Amino acid sequence: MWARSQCIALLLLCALPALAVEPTEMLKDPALEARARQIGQALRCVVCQNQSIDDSQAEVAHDMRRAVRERLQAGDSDDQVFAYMVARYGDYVLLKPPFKARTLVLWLGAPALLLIAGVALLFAARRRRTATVAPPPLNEEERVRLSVILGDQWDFHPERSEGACGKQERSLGLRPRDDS
Amino acid sequence: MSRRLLYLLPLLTLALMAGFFAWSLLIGRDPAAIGSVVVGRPAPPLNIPALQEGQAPLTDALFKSGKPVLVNFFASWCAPCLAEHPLFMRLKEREGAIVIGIAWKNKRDEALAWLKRLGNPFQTAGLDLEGKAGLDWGLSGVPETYAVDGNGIVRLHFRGPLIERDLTDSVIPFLKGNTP
Amino acid sequence: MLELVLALLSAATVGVLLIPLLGSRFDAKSRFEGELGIYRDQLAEIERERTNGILAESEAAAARTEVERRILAAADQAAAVPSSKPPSTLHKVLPPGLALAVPLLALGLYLQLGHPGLPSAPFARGSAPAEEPHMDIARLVVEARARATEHPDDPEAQAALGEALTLEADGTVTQPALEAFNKALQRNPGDPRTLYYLGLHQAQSGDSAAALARWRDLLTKYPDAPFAPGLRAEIERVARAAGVDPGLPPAPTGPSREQQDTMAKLSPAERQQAIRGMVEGLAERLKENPQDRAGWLRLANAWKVLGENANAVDAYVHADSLAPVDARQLADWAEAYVRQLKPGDPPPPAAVAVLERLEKAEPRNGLALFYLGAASFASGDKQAAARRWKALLSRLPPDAPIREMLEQRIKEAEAK
Repeated sequence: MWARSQCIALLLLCALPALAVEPTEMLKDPALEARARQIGQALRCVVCQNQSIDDSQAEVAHDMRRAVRERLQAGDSDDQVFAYMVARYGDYVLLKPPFKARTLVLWLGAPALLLIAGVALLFAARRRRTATVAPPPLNEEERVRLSVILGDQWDFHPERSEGACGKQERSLGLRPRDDS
Repeated sequence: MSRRLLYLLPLLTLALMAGFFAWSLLIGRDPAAIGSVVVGRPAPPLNIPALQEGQAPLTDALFKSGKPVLVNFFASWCAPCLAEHPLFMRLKEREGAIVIGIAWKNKRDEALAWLKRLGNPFQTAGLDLEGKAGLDWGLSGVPETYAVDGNGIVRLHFRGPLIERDLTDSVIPFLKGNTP
Repeated sequence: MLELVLALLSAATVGVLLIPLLGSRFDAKSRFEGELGIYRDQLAEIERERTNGILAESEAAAARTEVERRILAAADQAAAVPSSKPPSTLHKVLPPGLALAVPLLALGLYLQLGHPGLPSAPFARGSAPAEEPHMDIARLVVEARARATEHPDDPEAQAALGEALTLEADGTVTQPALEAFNKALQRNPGDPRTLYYLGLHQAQSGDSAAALARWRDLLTKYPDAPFAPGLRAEIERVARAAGVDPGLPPAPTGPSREQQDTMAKLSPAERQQAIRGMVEGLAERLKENPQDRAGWLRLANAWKVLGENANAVDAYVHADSLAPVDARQLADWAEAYVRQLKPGDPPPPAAVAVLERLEKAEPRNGLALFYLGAASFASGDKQAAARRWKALLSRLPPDAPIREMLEQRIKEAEAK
């Protein structure tokens, strides 16, 4: 019973967003604090590497959160705050990488591949369709062989209802299935 | 025949990707190394109180002496700082290096006691209790070491403790005026 | 348990992969029959859609022609492959081979890179601190500092202070520790402990080459010392970190890993028996090869541990005859002598000779002072006896249990 309640407590913990922002750090102005949160979610903690600074308990993340709030209070725009961080920690600090020449492959690589694959599929489909539009009819020899292979059941060709071909042409292919 | 080759295409793509990943794994690149944007730029501004009470604060003037300077962020609570400490003693005593220590998020008396217990490799030491100077330098934790050349440009950056190879390969050549 | 589950999982996976691979091996003919059934269904479907008006007449004709062409192509293929021919060896071996290669490769990689014997982390963490002897390092430092201040010229006290300061700094030789070791080295240039820590300092301050040279030197001088295995490990560690060859002399042959393992399984009495057997084996080998000085020293040490002090003395005599033993071994040798004495008896002349050598090498050695005092007393030189015992008394801690007895004997020596 105890173990179960512990389990449930653990699950509840997991369900909560793991915010590391401490109450003492928060700004009094709710609008400014909201902006700080938005910026904090987009900045990478340079110690944990896969957490935003708002999610990280690291010392540096704490400093960065405080710096974000100081800049905002000093009247900086969001872009200016990001620029402030990039000047110190590089593009690396941005969880969303910027769009520039060095990151071109990162941004465009996947869509480009998707595009190429789509175009190729389109071409293939078109070719298949044109192929089915006008298949040359079977010639006489092919018809004979087919009749041998399919045996009696091969009789619903409307334009060949004469069923001219007998079962004497065994030498051309395999034995008919239901024969013998 | 060309159909067959077409079937090989996914396999070929897979082999190409596997080769690329193996290559990036084996060239010895440290994926956790994130570099520093400070390298190659003028040293970030510095204005912090001296660790020893009553001494003049540490400012940018330290980088305008025309001599190369090492800046070491440390803390008495940091075990790797202890490990790299003998290297700084050697840099001071055998190589005549000017090392500036910055106690990061460290209480003044604890940092002073630590230096007294181990020996003091720093020509001058400052106190960055709030981690503000650390943020300006793009610090992610302690220990971290920057090498600033005589023109005040940051030339080297080491995240984590210095080891013997760092000394022989880059720090000592840097002090001798050979920027690697 | 986990291994079994993992093995079953991989076996199941391989099985699932293999079943279709093995099952799909019809001969060409029966495969064609299967295909033909599908094509028949397709033709019927087309016909149905045509009669229902879903397919236009022309579309139906085109679709039917396509299917018919496929039938013909399949028939050609089936005819081309002689149905009696067994599948090629490659075809037979490749799928099961590949399916088996994956788990086998994985196992090989695991044995290469993994740590099958590694205990789970919580267990290791839980048990490790309990086994570590609790040591009050702060008190150790205070005591060592007091002693070093009291005896600034005693290399032993200085080295102990350096060691305590190093322990306090989690194994880093700090600047004050270095100063203490340098003082110790001035008074006693050959002290292995001081030399070890000075080497450690060199390694820590980025001069691995100097550290390794110093340590190798130390190891050559003391190949059989109790600290030798630890020193070897340190040399290897530092050499590996610096990426150089450790350049170690070959290790003296000790019990092999298997011997140690079987040893651990024995009961204490059996173990004692086994050790004795090994020591006797060593003694036999030395009889055939009496020039092996290191072997004699090892034998002496082993006999001493087993309490066979007369045998130990004998082994020390052999080793010493090949080359004079060092101070530490002299102390062990002398100890093996005096342990054979009844309380109160003076040491025999052979023991006195060893004790005198020990006193010369280490003038402050307590063992030498005490027993040489007893020898002097027995031979009538009561002045010398009193001098030695007083020297010993001044070095004893205030709460030493033998203090009282020693004071009593000094009184006796000074009585006349």
